[in-house]
Amino acid sequence: MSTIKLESADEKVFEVERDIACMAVTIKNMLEDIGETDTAIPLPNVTSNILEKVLEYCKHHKEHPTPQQDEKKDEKRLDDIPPWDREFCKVDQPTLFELILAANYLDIKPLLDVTCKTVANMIRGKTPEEIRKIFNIKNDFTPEEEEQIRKENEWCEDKGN
Amino acid sequence: MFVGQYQFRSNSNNFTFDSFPYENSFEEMEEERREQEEEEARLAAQLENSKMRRLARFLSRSKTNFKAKFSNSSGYLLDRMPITAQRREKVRQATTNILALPDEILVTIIGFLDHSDIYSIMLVCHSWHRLTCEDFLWRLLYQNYFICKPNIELFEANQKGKKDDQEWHQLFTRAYVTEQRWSSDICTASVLRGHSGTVWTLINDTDNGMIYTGSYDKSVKVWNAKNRKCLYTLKGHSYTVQCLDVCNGFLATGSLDNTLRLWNCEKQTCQGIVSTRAHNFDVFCLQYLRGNANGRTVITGSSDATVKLWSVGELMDDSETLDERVYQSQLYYEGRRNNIVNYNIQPDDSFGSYEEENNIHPATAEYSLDDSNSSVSPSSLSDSQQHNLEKRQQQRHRNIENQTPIHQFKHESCVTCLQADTNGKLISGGSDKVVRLWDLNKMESIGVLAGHHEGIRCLQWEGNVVATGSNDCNIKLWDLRTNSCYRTLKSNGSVRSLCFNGSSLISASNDQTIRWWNMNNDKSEDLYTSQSSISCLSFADNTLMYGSSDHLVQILQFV
Repeated sequence: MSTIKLESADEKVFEVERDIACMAVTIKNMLEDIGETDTAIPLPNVTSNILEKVLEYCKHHKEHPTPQQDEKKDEKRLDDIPPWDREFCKVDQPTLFELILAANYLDIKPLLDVTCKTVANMIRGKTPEEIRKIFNIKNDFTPEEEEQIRKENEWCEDKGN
Repeated sequence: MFVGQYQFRSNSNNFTFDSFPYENSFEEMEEERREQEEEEARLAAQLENSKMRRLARFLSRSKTNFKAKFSNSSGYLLDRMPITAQRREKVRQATTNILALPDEILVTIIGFLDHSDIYSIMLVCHSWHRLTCEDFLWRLLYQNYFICKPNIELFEANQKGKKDDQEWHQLFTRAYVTEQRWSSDICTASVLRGHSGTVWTLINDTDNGMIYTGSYDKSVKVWNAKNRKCLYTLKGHSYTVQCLDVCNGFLATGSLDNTLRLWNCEKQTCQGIVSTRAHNFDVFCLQYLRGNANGRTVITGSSDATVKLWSVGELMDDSETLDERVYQSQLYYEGRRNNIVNYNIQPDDSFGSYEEENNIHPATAEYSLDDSNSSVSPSSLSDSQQHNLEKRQQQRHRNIENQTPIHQFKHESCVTCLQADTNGKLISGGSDKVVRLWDLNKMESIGVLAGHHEGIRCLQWEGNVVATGSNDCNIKLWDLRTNSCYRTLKSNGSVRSLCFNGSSLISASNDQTIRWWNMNNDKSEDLYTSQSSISCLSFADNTLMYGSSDHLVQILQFV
C-alpha cells in the first residue's frame, strides 16, 4: 500500500495511505499534479490535532463506506447523520469550527457536510437569544432595529411551525 | 543560486500569513496573489528539478500560499518557526467563535435550516442578519421548499443558464404566504352554472382567460374566467363529454359516444369529427401533442385499453366547418339520387380492421344529422359543378370523417389518464394498475411504473416527477430518473383527480374532500368538503376549480 506524507501547519509529518489521503480532493489533485514524491505535502492551514481528526474520519469512511441513498440525495436532511459521524462531531466548538475549515480547505465534501449539519442542528429550533448564548455572540441590535426586523418578517411567524 | 531572492522575500513580515482568507481584505489578497504569482513564476523557471516544477505549478494554482515550503527547502527554517507558532495561535483565535467562519461556510450551514430558523438567525446579530439577506440562500430555501425533490436538479440546471436577477427572498415570501392561505379559510367562492349534468372535465386556460367544461349533458361550454359568464355552448356529441383539451384555437373533445371531435373556437362550431369510432368504447382522456407536433396531433386513451395518436392538422386547415361540409354532402347525396349516378360509395373501410367482436355498427356515412336538418335542393347546380362537388365530397368523406390513428399503444385495461410532454414522451395510466411510459419518436414502450394496488384514476407529470392517484386511496409520487415510487401519500377514498404545482398537490377523492399536500414534507390539509361528488379539478394561479355531480363548477380563489 503506497503511502504519502502530509505536513501540518505545526510541522508534524503524518504518513498516511495514499487512498485515504486522496479522500481530500485538494490532496488528490496535488498528487495527480506532481506524481510520485517523497516530499511531505505541506498543509499550512491545518494544525496537527485537526489533521489527525480529519485523517481519522477519512480512515473510518474508507473502511466503512456509506452507500449513497438514491432517494435521499435530493434532500437536505439534518437527521440523517450516521451514528459514527455524530460521535465524531461531539467536540468543543473551536475544534468543530477548525474541522469545518479543514474540510473546506482540503475539499472533503462528506466531512464538510456532516460538520456543517452538526452546527445547523445546534441552531435548529432555537430562539435568537438561545443561539447567541450557544455561540457566545453579542446582541448588537438596538431595540428599534430588532423591532424593524420582526416587522419585516411577520409573514413567517407562528404559521407552519 | 536563487537563495538571494528568498532573502528579500523573507523580510516581508506577512509572508506566511497571506493564506488566511478572513485576515485580509479582498484587495490586499488580490495584490498579494499577483505578487505571489509573479514570484512563483520566476521561481519555477529557475527550478531544475522537474518534480519541484510541477509542485510549483500546483502551488500557483491552489488558493493557498505555499511559499513557506519553498523557503524550507532553501534553508529558511529558522525564520519560519516562530511565525508558524504565531499563526497557529491566530488560527485558534480566529475559529473559537462561529462568527469567524467565512461567510460561504456560514451560508452553507444556514442553508440546511428552514425559514423559521432563518428568521431566528436574522435576529441574532448584525453580521448574521446580513448573511440572511444573501439571495442565494433564499433560492436554496425556495428550491428546497417549493420544488419537488426529484426536480431540484432540473431547477438548478435551469437557473444556471439564466441571469440570476430574481428576488428570491421576495419569491419565497410570496410563495410561502400563498401556501399559508391554502390552510386558511379565507377564499372567495364563485360558481359556473349552466350545465345540466355532472361536469366531467374542465380546463382553466389562464393565458386566454377562458374556462372550458365538458359534461354529462353532452355539451361543452366555454366560459369567460373573469365574469364567470358562459360565452357559448358546443353541442354535437351524443353522450357524455369525458375529456377535452384546447390548443391554437381548436378544442378537441372525447366522449363516451366513442368519437373524437374537433371544434373551432373562433367560429364556435364543430370543425369536424376526427373519427366517429375513435375507439371501441368511451374516449376517456385526451391531450394535444404540443412541441414539434404543434397541436396537430391528438392523443386519446380509452376504455378499450388503447392509446391512439390522431393527426388533426388536415382537419384544422380545412376552411369549412362540419355544418358546411354536412350541407355540401347533402347536396352530393341529393344530387346522386337525382342523377342516378352509381358511384357505389361505401363508408371508408379502413377502420373496418378494428377488432370487431361486439359488432358495433361502424360509423355510417350519414353525417350526424342532429347537426343540420336543412333539406337541400341540388337543381341549381350545373353538371361540372356537380362533378367537382362529388369529387371533393368523396375525398373528404374518406379522409376526414373517419381517420385511422397514426399509431396505437396497448394497456391491459381501461386507459384513464395520460399526459405527453413536448419532447415526445407519453405517460398513460389505467385500470391495469400501472403507469406506462412511451417514446413517441420511436413509438415504443420505455417503462412501467408499478406499485398501486388498484386502478389508476389520474396522473400529472412534471420534470422528473409523476404523481398518480388511484382507487387504492393512495397518491404515489414517482421519480422518473429511477422509475420508482419515492413517496406515498395516503388519502381517504379513491383519488379521483389531482393537480400539482411546484411542491403543492391538490387532490379530490371519493370522500368528496379536496386535500392539499406539500410533496416535500408531510404537511397536508383538508381544504374543502363538497356536498356532492367531485369529478374533476384544476389548480392554477391560486385558483382552485372543480366540477361536480351537482352540475356546477365551483371556483375557490385564495387571495
